[in-house]
Amino acid sequence: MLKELWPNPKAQQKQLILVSYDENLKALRQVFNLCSDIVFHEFIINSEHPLRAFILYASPLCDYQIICEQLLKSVLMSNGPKGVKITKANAIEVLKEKLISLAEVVVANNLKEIEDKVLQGYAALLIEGSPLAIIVNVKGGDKRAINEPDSEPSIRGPKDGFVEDFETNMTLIRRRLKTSRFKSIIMEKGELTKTKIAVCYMEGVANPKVVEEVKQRIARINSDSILEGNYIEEMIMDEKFSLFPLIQYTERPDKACSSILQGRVVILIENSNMPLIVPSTFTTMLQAAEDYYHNSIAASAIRILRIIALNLALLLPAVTVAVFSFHQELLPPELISTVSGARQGLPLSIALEIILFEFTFELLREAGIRLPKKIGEAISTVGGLVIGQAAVNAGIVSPISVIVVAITAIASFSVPNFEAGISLRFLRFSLILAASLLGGIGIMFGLMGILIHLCSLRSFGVPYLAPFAPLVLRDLKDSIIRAPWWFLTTRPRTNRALDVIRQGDSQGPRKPKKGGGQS
Amino acid sequence: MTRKSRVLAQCFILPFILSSLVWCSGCWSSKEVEDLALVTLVGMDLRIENGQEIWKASALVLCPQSQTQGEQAGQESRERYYEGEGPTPQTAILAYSRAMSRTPFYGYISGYIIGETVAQENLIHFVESASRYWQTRPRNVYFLARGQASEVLKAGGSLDNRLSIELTEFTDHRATATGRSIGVYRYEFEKWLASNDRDAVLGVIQTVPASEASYKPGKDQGEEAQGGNESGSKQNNSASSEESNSTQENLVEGIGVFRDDKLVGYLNREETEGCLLISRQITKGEMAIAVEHDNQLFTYFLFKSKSKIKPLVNNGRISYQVIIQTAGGVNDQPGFTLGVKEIRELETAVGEQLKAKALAAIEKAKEYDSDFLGFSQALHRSKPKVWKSFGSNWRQAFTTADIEVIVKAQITKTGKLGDKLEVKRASE
Amino acid sequence: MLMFVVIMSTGVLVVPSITIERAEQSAWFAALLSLPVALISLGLANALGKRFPRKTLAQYCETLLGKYLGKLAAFGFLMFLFAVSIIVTREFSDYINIMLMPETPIILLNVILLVIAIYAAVKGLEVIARIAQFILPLFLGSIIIIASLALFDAKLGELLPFMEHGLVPVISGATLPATLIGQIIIVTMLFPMIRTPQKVAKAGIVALVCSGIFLTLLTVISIAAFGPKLPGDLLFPFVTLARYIKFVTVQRLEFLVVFIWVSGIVVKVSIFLYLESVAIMQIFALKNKAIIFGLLFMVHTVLATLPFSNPQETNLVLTKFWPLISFVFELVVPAGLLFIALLKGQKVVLRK
Repeated sequence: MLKELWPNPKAQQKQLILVSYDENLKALRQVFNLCSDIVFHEFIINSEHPLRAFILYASPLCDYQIICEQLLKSVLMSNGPKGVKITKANAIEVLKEKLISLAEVVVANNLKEIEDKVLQGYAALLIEGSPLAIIVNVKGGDKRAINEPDSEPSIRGPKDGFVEDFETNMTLIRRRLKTSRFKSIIMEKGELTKTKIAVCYMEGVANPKVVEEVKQRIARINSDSILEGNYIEEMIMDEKFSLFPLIQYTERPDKACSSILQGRVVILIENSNMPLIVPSTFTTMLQAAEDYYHNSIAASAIRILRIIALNLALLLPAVTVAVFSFHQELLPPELISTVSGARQGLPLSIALEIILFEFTFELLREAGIRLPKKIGEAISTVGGLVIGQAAVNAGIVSPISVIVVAITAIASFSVPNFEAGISLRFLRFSLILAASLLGGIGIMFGLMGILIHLCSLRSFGVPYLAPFAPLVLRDLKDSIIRAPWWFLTTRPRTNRALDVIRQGDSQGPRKPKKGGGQS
Repeated sequence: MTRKSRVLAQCFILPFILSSLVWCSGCWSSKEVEDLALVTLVGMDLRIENGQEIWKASALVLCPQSQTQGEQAGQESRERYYEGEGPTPQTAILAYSRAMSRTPFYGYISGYIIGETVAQENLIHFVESASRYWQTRPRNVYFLARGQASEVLKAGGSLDNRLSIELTEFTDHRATATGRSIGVYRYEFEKWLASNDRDAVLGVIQTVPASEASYKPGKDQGEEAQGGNESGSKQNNSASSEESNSTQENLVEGIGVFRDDKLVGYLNREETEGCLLISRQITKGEMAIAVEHDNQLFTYFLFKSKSKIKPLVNNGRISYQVIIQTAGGVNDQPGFTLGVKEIRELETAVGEQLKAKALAAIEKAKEYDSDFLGFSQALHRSKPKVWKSFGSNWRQAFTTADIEVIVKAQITKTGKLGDKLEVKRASE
Repeated sequence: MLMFVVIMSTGVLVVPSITIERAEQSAWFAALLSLPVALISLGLANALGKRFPRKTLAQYCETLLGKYLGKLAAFGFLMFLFAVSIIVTREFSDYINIMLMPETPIILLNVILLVIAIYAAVKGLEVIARIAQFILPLFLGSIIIIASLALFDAKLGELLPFMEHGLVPVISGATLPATLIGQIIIVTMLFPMIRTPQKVAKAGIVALVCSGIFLTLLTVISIAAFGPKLPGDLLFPFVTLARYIKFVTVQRLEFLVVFIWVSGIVVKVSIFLYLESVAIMQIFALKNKAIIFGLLFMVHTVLATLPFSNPQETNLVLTKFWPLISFVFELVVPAGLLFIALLKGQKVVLRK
């Protein structure tokens, strides 16, 4: 079935452009049969013997203005360059070299190439009597403007975010890395989508083994379509199943560039506004780009806050369950009588209560994301406030579980990595279960299980828990804390960077010597 | 295909088996907060009928605060009284547990009150059962009830409404500070009982009629302390006793002295203070001591004291030197001039007074043949050979020894006034 | 670092009790005294390891003693490993059962612990080592927090008089900590897997000295807080120590103990399970990991649950028979092997 609808690409590739104008037109019309968006524009080139010609382009991908003003105008309105006659034989050459005033002009000789290029937003110009086609870049069409990254907003720091357009994304990176050592290798994957994938890295900084590994893993992919980063993310991961994101992604070009500068590899994917970053470790989940734009002390404090938030989001409900139903003596004595009074006459045990409420909260969250922005906000307010209050008043749950779930929710939003947030939710539920069965011991066992899992993970050869396990002392300066810039003289070892030195030593601020000043 | 399914199996079957195992077997130790009866204080009495021990356990249980809409303030949490009897402590405890509608929970227990009879007859039985139980904590407090422990529990607390909190507070902060009694933690009591060179003491709690216990002028006023009124130092004020309906109130005062595992006697007020001066270090004291000087009384407000016991061996004869250092202030005095020289004189007077207290405690210890002041312990530590030579009669090393008490009392604070407030006086 | 966690995890809980019972106020010295014994055992292990850098103990037993005798010796060593891990498992569930959850059946605790440990063991040595590395700072931090907070109310005077009853009780008190930190002998099994065998001796010494110091410290604090007699009567003085802490409003720190205990025990049991699996593979020439771990799981569950009916029996084994067995395998066997190796003229092989 498939084969019939989809002619063998190899056979097609060999199909060269013929001298016969009509044959060519027919063949191409055949290829683009029923493709309503492909435009065939026939015209006549003004020369000694009027030459028939046609251009072919995919209208949604092209800029009409370029086609009209630059391409058609230069071909139709001129009488050719002075002293040169356009003939059948030299038409292609003359047009290419003397007439068409566009940046990217190439010559193709087979239909397959024309087809590919046209579908990428080029226009093909075929002229009577010539077995070659001129292919001009007339890319345009609608694309989203560069605006602030929604998922990783920042207060200080650049406000541009990646968009879906591949070239724009490249621009955003290249603007920041003005060196020829920044390499990007483009691969094309997906039989039907023909998605461009660029492996970007800094030569001499990134470990060639890692780059090679990335290339190999991407080359291995054989899929019909790649629409988003995760299509390849799950195929190039180290582990078959992992609860934690082994590959990072970002919407911020500054973050992508800083990753490249640290010796990591960025995988840019066409039509995705979230490039992938490998290798990624546990600590990167907790780092936001803004950390590097603020005062190092403040940034370190915020990172510590985030770690606390992570722990809260993971553990708070489980610990509450454990304390309330196993280790009551851990509650402060002043609280216990209030608590036991408040919990009196409630139908559900604390574990069920918290599970129920966490579940409600997850529902709200999912609903809030799916709905239009305005309604989403309304939903979360109504859900959070009204349901919580009503449930307490109705005597279904105790105020404690509402508080716990609310704190957990707030804490879980402060984890910068969304993907990590998802795995966190999953683990949170498992830990609540463990806690409701075995109390604190259950939680400890659960945590040990998670730790074993984390320790066994690797991301492109880098242990996931680095720099803590294995301990890399020099990398600790940019893990829990963020040391001042003058102290960050080396690139993280854990990325297996080649060139470790990043900047000179002792560039810290210095007070001017007394008396040495000019004033 | 097979490989994939195997991986899947590995990933899902194991957790499944685990969880089903756990689910099927249920959760054993889990108990909900609202199903617990929080026991805060346990009292234990013993009486012997027809040669058989009958233990009577009593307990205070915290009543949970009922949550009425919005207004919780003003409602103090209260404690309810339970009691039960049985041939062993545990059976007695079970007897009252049966009367409760919830599972008793001892994680919040603040302490134990030992009835006088228990202390005299079979202390160890109870102490061990308390120590063995897994929910008890080393920082629980022990008190000795003069009379029945159950009476004490029945009378309940006064200022806080919760006796348990009062007793913990007392042990943590006030016991040594006021010089009324001694606060003893469980681990300390057990340590003393287990040690081979020291005897145990406990703070004494007793029930007295409310009228006797309640009215108290502030202790800072010197004449009251001198007043010799034995009942006189409950720190609650009259307001609380008016509110409280019970006619009986609890009063913590004095120290009960043990010899080995038997209660042998009590210390009165003077001796209690002496005992505290010797065996404890006072850091945040508020002990007001009336001292006579020039036939007039003034108050020495002691807030710090330190003591050291030095065993000396001369020609096989053992003597001890007790050095007590105190610091205090003079806040009220009947018109002395507080110059530098006068303060020296006052300090000597204070020293004499404190020395008398310490000697009284030592006398009592010798009388009871109980070494609760830690003299033998000091000997054991610094001169183990001498101590060893006494063998099981180690208390003799204390009872037969000469004991010298040196008090270095200091007056470090004299308040806002200079020498004195010059007032005109009626000439005599 | 791995060894430190392995040793401390059980050491923390059990050592103070038994040592103090025997040596009373001089127990801290006993804890310190056990250090040299363990150092000897490390020295033996290192000497053997240098001679057979690519082989585990089970393998060079055969080289040295011939096929049958060697297998027998290796089997004995395997039994020793078994004994350690089973007793440790049992200690763990006893502790939980006594101090935290009296109603929960011991078999369940054993099963869960073993499942987690086997999960780690299946993942291999590297993962276990990384876990150890990760929890070490938290582990140390918790111990230090408990120790320092307990120190506020402790009276160092309780440590006097020193060596009241002479050296004998001190030495007898030192046997248990000695066997515990003597478990360093398991490095003989680890040698071929370590990337830098030259550093083993150094790391081992650091681990031993650290654990010796920490054990001593804990014993000191236990005595200072509870006097020379009481900790001997308590089953788990360290837990009681944690419960005893009351520093302003900081109290009820038992959860830290649970943290130390669970994380340490998981690491310890998993490393022993791993070694057992390696030893079994080498002795019986088995290949299938699933079968081996399944077997190990069964054996441990059964043996850690059935033979002891109450914690007193575990304690009895620990105090009476355990030191003897341990000394045989921690000192006598390696010493014998080294002796034979010397006789046979094995030379130190330098590995590239």
